[in-house]
Amino acid sequence: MDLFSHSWLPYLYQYFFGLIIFGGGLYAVFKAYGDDFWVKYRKWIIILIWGFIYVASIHLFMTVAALENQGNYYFLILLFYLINVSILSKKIQ
Amino acid sequence: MNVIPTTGLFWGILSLYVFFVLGAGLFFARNNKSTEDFFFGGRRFSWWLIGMSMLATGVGSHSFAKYAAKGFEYGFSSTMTYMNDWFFMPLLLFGWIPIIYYMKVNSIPEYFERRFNTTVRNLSTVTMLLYLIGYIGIGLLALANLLQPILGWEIQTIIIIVAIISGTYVSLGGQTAIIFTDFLQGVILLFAGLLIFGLGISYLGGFDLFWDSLSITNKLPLADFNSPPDFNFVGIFWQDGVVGSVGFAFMNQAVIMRFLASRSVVHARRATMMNVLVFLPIGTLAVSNSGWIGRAIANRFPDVISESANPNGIFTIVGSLVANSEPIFAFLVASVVAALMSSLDSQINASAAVAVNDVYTPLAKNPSEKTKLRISMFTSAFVTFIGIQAAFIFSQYGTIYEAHGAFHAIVTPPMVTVIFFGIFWQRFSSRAAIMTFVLGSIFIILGEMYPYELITPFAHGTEYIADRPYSYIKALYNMVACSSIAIIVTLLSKKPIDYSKITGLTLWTIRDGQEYFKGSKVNPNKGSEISFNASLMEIDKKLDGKTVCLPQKYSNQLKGEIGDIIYISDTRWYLGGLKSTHAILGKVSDSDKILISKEVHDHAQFDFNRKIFIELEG
Repeated sequence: MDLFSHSWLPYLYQYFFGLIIFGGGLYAVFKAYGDDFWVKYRKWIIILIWGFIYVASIHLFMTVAALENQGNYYFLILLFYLINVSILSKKIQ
Repeated sequence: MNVIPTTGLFWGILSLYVFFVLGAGLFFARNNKSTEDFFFGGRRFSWWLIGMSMLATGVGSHSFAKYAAKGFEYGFSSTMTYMNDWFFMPLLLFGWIPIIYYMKVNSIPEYFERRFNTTVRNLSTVTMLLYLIGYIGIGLLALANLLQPILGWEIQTIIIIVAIISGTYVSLGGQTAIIFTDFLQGVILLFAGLLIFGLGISYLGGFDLFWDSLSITNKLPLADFNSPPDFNFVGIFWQDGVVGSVGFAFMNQAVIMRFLASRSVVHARRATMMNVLVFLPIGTLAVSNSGWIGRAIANRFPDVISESANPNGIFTIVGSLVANSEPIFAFLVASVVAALMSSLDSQINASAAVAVNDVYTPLAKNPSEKTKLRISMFTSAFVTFIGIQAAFIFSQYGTIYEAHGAFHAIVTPPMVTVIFFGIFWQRFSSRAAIMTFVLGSIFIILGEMYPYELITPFAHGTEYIADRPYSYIKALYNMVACSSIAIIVTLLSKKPIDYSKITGLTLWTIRDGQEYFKGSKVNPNKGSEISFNASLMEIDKKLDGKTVCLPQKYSNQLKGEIGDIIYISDTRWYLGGLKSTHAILGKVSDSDKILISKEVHDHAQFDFNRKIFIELEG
């Protein structure tokens, strides 16, 4: 069964438009806040980019787990989630 | 109709929970001294409390009905609308949140008046009330559908009873009650969601058997690109992922009020980040997994759950099957009631905020705080009543998903477009905003009348169904229509000469917002936080407003200047800011005591045998 229209096509579509929206937003914010945005909000910007990678990675793992029929990939996803919680809890204090 | 059998123990547990929620509302009602307390909880709460209560607001009762149903029909792709909110985060965290917080915008219509004019405010007030009352109606209907398999009553009767309970406690408690009960309900909801997942896995005989009971398409996280018409990726991406996400984060008054209830912009940002990256992934598991378990059981044991089972009631069906004990089943049902309460209370309170701030106050001309508070309580009850009528109308649609989709597609796009352009395009004018509302609505109606001709070019190959045309992808057509009107009218209008009237109200003037918030130049120095025993504080009745005067040594440590905004709070983190307030730094105190005005004390209600800390707002 050809599952491209059920797996990678929606994935690519979502993250293509997602990247445009996210990147456009980040660019607009950089322009609006001026030169000191990176200096003042470096931690927040890193978390924003990390969040994008994190969400895209979760969908990536889930898609691969389904296509390869590997349920144990979900333990990796759980581990990834816990690492994320740990990082965020420390970084946003 | 089959009714799931229950005993007095089940009803006892459920009633106990409802009384607990009502009691919490009454308990926290003591803190409401003004409409700022009633609607915004005094703008003082910590990020973790706000984040969890945002989750409870977002994961409403309709989520249990909608996403469990789609999980049952299509599998893991029921999660896709919960996992695509991150794209808008830069604009939300560094654009919208600082604008509404620093500019002290109490409601979206109020923002529209300040950004545009009164006509735009009135148009948005009508839209906003329709949006919120529609949400209340959907919530009531969803809960009625979930409870009907247990109660066996008429849907209308259930709607009225739950509406009375919700309306009563919101009318009495206000935003503080909502935030605290939402926090608790959020925790219960997540726990219950994980519990049903664990019980379901155990029922099926382990995770491997659960996994093997699902087909590959059941396990994919995103739906098929453009089919079937009732659940396809591309339509849902534009309707829920784009229009819905912007609508929820930027336009939903209940969410806006959570941002405003935060103790600072930084805490509102933290709450949002944690909500999307930490709480929402668990939230989506909580609301969807009963559907997945139901699908696995239906695939493995078709005689236990048949293909013809009603997807809208799948949570209750799976709950009664896997709980295997009445108290646990009662707890699971109570968690759904919690979800209903937490979304309904927020929407009711938000509707009252819009009605009081945007309808009553402009008409009454300087009403007293006491009168406004009374009107707020009355309005909460009234919008609940209107919400019941909306639920009755929605109950005439085939499914909750369809009702929610129709409601979103019609109401949201013009408002979302105006908010978005208003924030990010300085040149976007009042005329363009009015035309976007008026012409945008006309184009939406035309799209409803001639869907094949107008929406097909946007359909991405989605099948045209004559009686339910383009349920989701019409959102893309509506957004393109509204955005085109906004851009064309703005470009055809004369370019404004100066933008001083909208300072702080757009992304490009955001740095002026902090100064507006403070009322004077921002102090660039930031000293360290000070902490002390509350016994060191003394109430000085001569001090006006919310003033605090520090002795020299503390003033030096804080590096504050007269007129700076400070945050003064009990040090117990688990209170989440309940015993705290913002205040204005007065002149240096001559005595060794920290002098606070009566208003500061009344608002924060400090315990004088506890530790307190003060930090500069910034």
